Amino acid sequence: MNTYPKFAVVGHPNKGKSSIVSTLCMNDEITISKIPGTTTKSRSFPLKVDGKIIYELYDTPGFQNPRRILEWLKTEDVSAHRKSQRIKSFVDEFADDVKYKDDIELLKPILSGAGIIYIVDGSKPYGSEFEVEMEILRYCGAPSMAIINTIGEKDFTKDWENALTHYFKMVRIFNPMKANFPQIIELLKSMSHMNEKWIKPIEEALEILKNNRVSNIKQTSQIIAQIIYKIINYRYSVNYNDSNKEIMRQKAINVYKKNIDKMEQDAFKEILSVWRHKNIKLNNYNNILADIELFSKESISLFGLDKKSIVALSASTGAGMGGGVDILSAGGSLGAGVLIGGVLGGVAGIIGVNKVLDDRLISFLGKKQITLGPLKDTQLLFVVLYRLLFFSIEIAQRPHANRKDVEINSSLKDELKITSDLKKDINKLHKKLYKSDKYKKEYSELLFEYLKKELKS
Amino acid sequence: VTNFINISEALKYYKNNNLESKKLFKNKKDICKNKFYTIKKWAEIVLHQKNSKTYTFTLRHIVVISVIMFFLMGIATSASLLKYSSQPVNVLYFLSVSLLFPLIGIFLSIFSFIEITTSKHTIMIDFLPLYWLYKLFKKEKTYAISIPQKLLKSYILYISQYISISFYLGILSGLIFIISFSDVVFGWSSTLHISANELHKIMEYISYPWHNLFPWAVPSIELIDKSRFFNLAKWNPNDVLLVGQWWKFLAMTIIFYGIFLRVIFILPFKFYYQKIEKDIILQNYEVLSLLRKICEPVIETNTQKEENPLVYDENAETIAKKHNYDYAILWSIDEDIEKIMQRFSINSKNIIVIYPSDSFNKITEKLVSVKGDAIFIVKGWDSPITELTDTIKELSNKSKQIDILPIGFKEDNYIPTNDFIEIWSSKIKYLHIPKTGVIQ
Repeated sequence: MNTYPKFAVVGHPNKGKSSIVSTLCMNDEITISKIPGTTTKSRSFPLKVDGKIIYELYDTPGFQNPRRILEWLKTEDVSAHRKSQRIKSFVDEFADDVKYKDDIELLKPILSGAGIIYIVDGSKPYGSEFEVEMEILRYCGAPSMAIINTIGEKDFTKDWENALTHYFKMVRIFNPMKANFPQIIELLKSMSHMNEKWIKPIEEALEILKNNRVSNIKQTSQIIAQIIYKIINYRYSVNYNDSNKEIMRQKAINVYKKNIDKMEQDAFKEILSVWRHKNIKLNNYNNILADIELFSKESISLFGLDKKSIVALSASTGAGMGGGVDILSAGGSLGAGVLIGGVLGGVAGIIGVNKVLDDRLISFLGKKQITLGPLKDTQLLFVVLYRLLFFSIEIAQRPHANRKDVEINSSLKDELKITSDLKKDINKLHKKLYKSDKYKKEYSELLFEYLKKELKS
Repeated sequence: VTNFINISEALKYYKNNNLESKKLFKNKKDICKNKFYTIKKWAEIVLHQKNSKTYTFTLRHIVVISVIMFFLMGIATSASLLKYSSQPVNVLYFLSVSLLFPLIGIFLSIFSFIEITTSKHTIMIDFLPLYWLYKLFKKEKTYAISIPQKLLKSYILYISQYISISFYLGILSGLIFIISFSDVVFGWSSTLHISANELHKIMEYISYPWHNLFPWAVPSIELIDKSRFFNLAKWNPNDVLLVGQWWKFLAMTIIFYGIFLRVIFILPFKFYYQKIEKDIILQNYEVLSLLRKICEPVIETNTQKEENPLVYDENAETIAKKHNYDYAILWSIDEDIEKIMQRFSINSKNIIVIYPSDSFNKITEKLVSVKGDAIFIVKGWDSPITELTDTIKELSNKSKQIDILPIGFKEDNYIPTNDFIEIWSSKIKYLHIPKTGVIQ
């Protein structure tokens, strides 16, 4: 028999059970709908660490027949120690009755040893009809607590608290759409106190979740550092001839912009994946380079070699031929052939590239290229960085029940608390990243510290 | 580069496979102490499982072929340098290959090394034949993995030392082979009017590194003098034997300058190349991500069971309220009944209140007399649960028409929100209850 803690999230339909499960198990694949009765099956969401279940949450359909069930339960007067048996009898008797399908789905996890998390909507007025449900849950005799979901605009929390304390030892207020990480941890901690045996495994799980959060922040900063490095150093070249030069230049600009956008969007996707968000979309997304004028560089190449390589190869060939002369002179030239040959070859290479290669030769043996990048506009890099940081903070703070689109535009500077000192450090590293990728680590560590502070982790 | 290629290859197989990657390690205690070792080991296991040897195998082939090719070239160079055609072999000419070329090679290697360590763009390394071989190889498109330039160049520089050693081993082997099986005589001359004494001094400088250890490999003044302007026809056989002794000095020049110095240079180049490889691998985003998956707990929250949510038609039609009803039924509404009736101008002769505490039997009893037109007033925010919709369904069988009125909060003067109306109307439409509609 499995001894890990299990929690059945139960209640009236449409009170936010699925939202609470989604936030607590950090999974945004659970369907959340404003229409009651969307959840038709009891589904378990285990939190697995290295494949081992630490605790399990059950998202259940809402009560559909509370009065009928309570009436049935009361048809036989039983003492307290046999009340849970009465629930079992009900489940057994009506297992095949379509009318009670949802109610039985709800009660099953409780009968299998799950603790009860009773959810009510604190933004709707209290009604004594809910007492019927609470009475049924009392019959189950399982460890229980109540959560007042403050998902809506109105606040009837006080009335609910007053009522719920009569039925539950623990009552907590929780908004699954706005809860931050410490609040989630706090609620899970409270849940562990429903049963003494659950305290230790849940504490262990919470420790793992906290470490995982720090690790996620680190991974996010690495993604940002990686993408900024890639954008800084990204080059795109196309071949052209004199008849299609302008068309090819425009084509190169379009592809370059598109690829930079793709890099950024890939980074957004990776950040979403790190934080296990699969259903969030970007809203008002505008391309970073949309209105930016880009400058291109033209170059020629022969046999796939650029100007620099042609000169180097020419010098190398000259040195080789000079070496031949040295050999022929039986060493008498003392290597002067190599030296002179190298210099002559190099000079010939430079002259050849600049003067001798005419268009016909290039079109026959080589090619002309238009190259875009690397991106040296530091302000533009800051725009990309701000967008990525803003997105990361937004996603890292989001509970999984909240699937609203994220607004991404180019003026997010004011949304972030970036000091002028930090900006200077970032700017220095942007310049260094152009020179070498070895500064990527330093850059990601700087971002990691910033994100950690912003996310209070 | 082997590690880099192996890891890159293995990453392709195991992309996004968190738990499986972790399971590859049997002894979990030992993993992750050394991250580089962990990722190397991981790649080894994955490639072994996938039986993938292509990349490292081909790379090794290139290096081995290069080493053999340069060894043979060394032998050929030696053979051509020592070619005997009635004239003695020119010592200075041989020295240019055994001394000058290695020194130029070492100088270029140091320069390339400095270039790689300090600059993003390099030129010197582009001269090396291995670099061209790589480019040639890369064009075959069998190479799907792009090796970072810095790693590739530091690797080429490192491997070039072996290739260079192989070349000089070839020259040395050629020299030993030729002097073992033929009688080679050496001579020297220069138009620069270098005297035997001056050349002896130069030779002493050259042979300084081994003059104590192998004094027999330092050319004597007599040897230098006798081999100057050497002409076989003029000299006696003893002199021929003497001038043949140049080979010891030439062999030591190859051993020291061509081989020994290169062996020394291998170490820093190897150390640097390995450091670059390690840095590049451990800075790679995918590797870091995988290491995290291997070394840190893998958290999963997915469910195995598929969800089958109910889908309602959200655009269900609504109806208008009538002025008079035969019956008004209030479901779980026991407060402000009169106020609600007035607020919605409901005229009804019979008002039935279903209290929250009413049992189902009692509800049936209360509703037994309902007929004609009835208005069913419910809390709009309350969900249309089965026992409530069943009640409505039963009433619809014996009534002319059932109009459902979902009301709003008391604070909002009971005005229902659009959501309340929408939820109730779509549920009623979904249930296909006859003669029943939701009031807008």
